[in-house]
Amino acid sequence: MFKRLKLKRRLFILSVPIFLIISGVALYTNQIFFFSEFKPLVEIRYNLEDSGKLKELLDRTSQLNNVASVDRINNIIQIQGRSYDDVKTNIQDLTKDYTGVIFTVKEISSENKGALTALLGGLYVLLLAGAAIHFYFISSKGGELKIIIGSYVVLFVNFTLSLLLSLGLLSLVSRYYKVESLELLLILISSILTYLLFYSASEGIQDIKNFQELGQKYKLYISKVYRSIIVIVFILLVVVSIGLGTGFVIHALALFAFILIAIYQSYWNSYLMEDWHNLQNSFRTKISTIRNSRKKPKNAAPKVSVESKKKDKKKKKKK
Amino acid sequence: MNLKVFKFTLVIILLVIFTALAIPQFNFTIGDKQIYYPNIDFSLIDKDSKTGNFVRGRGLYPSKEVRSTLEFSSIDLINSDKSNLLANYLQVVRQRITVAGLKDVEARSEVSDLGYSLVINYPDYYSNPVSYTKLLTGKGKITFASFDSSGQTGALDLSDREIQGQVSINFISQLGSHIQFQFTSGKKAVLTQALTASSSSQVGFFLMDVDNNEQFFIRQFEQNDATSLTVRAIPVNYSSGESTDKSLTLAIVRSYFLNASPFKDTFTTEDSVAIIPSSFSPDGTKFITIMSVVALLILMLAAFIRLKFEGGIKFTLMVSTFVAITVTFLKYSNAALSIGTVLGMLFAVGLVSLLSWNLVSEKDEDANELNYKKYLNLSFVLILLSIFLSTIVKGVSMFYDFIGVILMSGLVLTFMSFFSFKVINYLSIKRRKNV
Repeated sequence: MFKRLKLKRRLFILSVPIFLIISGVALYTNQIFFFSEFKPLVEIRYNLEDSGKLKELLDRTSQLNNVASVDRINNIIQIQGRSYDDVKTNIQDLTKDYTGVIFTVKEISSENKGALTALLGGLYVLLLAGAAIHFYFISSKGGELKIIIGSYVVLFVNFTLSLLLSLGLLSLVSRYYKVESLELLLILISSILTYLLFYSASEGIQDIKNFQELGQKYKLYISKVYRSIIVIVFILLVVVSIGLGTGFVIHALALFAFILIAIYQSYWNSYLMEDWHNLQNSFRTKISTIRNSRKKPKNAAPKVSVESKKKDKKKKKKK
Repeated sequence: MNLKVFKFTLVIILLVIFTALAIPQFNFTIGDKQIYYPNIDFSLIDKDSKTGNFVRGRGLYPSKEVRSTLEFSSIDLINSDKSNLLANYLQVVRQRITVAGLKDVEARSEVSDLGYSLVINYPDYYSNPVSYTKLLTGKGKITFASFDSSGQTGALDLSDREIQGQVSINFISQLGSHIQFQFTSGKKAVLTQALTASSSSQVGFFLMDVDNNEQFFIRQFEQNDATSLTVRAIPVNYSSGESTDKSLTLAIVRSYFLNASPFKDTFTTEDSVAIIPSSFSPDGTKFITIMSVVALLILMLAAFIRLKFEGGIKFTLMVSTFVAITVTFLKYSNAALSIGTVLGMLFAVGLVSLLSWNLVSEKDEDANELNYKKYLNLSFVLILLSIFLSTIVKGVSMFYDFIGVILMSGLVLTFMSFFSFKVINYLSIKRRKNV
């Protein structure tokens, strides 16, 4: 049972780096987001009296490459990553078979890209500066400098990873869904929550002597508050989503997912800290084993294989 | 009455007053008289803050769109050159929007067979979007003309490139709101001559013309103005009284001074306004208000179940005090009710619910003393965070409303950490029975 738990723990610790690699790959290949408001798009609007044929035309257009969104109520299709002239030629070919169709093709500029960069960059600066001031005040009250710097690093790492994982998830989804600036606001909300969680938990770290204790303190705090966070967020989101209508449901789900990522990430960090000594020791042991195996001692005893050991045991038993 | 009971009574009085102010404005008729409630005029603090309601923001109400189509002065341009020019103009218009402080106005470019245009989108509460679009997409050409005693005008050897220092918007009760700027020392002679040309009038002045659309009187007011070559541009089309239209016109014209050169091509603005339906709240904002109240009631019910009666009362008092004060302050600071505001309130209420839950469920008084300090620090973090974010995030209007709510929540949380949390948490029914 203990071994199983340990394995789970190991898998848990390994999970975040794996998700992080997936996020990094997604962000790189999609150039942050595949479909988003932050890239220019080409919009096609159809007008056709025959609703059956209009539906057919919308279906055929939605099969074109790089379709970012299809609005079947207003008969609008948005395409990203293709030029205006290219799309227009495509639509002219498509609509040849449909008499009486009126269409307009527009190239629309992106949302202010600078806002995305400013938001992410600004949050980073904010975290670095804010946390530095906070821990400066903590250090002035006493405590181990190693622990205080460690807490600062944890706060920074936690915030960064939470932001990256949320962005990674959004980047993966952006292949099928056009990301709006609202989603960035939701990431901002969950990131601030993560920041505040660790900020609150870092009160009273002056009395802590090692990272294991620090990890335990964080873990205790998070396990104390995570249920309340989930329940409160769930109640507020469900009820307010009813008020805001079906259009908000996808955003509510996104926010809930980001908050779950934030909590998961915070747990991971505290687990990692708790196991820091063990991980460090096992890492050192492994390195020293590798070193020792490379250094062949002159009077080394002959190697005994596992099979020969088993044979010896069997012989002993027979005797 | 001891001090703690007095403080608690004060919290209850505050809660009642702020709840009465926070509710949306409604009207009823007594006889022939129609009475609006709440109807407190806070226009001394903010000139538009007298309705007792939020203004209609983005996402929850339909927005307004105005199109300006570009007419190129050169006929030899190929399509890619035209697209590049349009992109440059879009950048300048976005800069004008930012400088003019129109934080919730969005601009985009559109290229189609109909032409190359800029589309400006305004939240519902902007009353005159066509005239603002004309100003925002205007060439931005500023010229100065003398005005002599016979009423004749003549060109002056002054330009907006010969200005030094900051161009600011000022208010003086005798002049009203105006643009203030300072000419370079090399222009002293021209300036003095222009101001004395209209010597028959009591005050020397000349004219400033913007795109043959808006005219301004240029004059000096204080003794120091003459020595520092400072002038004040007072809009001709507006009276000395203040209005939103006037302040927006001044803010947009001020942004012209920041661009090195005016647009070479002309934008023609359509007089029609397209109404864009809201993305959310198909059933209207009253339904959102009702559902927000329901959400709070469910949270309070959960508190009564989990934290027992006394804990439930404390939790209810803490959260409702926070909500009532925050909503009242947001309303009277003329905030817009938008999707950003709703998300900001969701975040703030969620956070305060979590903090209150922790406080109420914590039995150790020493631990709670530490919590009050922790929450006070947290409120400072929220205030700093909102101030910082508001300075870096430019161009996405949704963030501003969210950040505004966070700032207000931080301020209210500071007050609550100092006062309300402690006082409400002191409430102990059993203890008072024993007393």
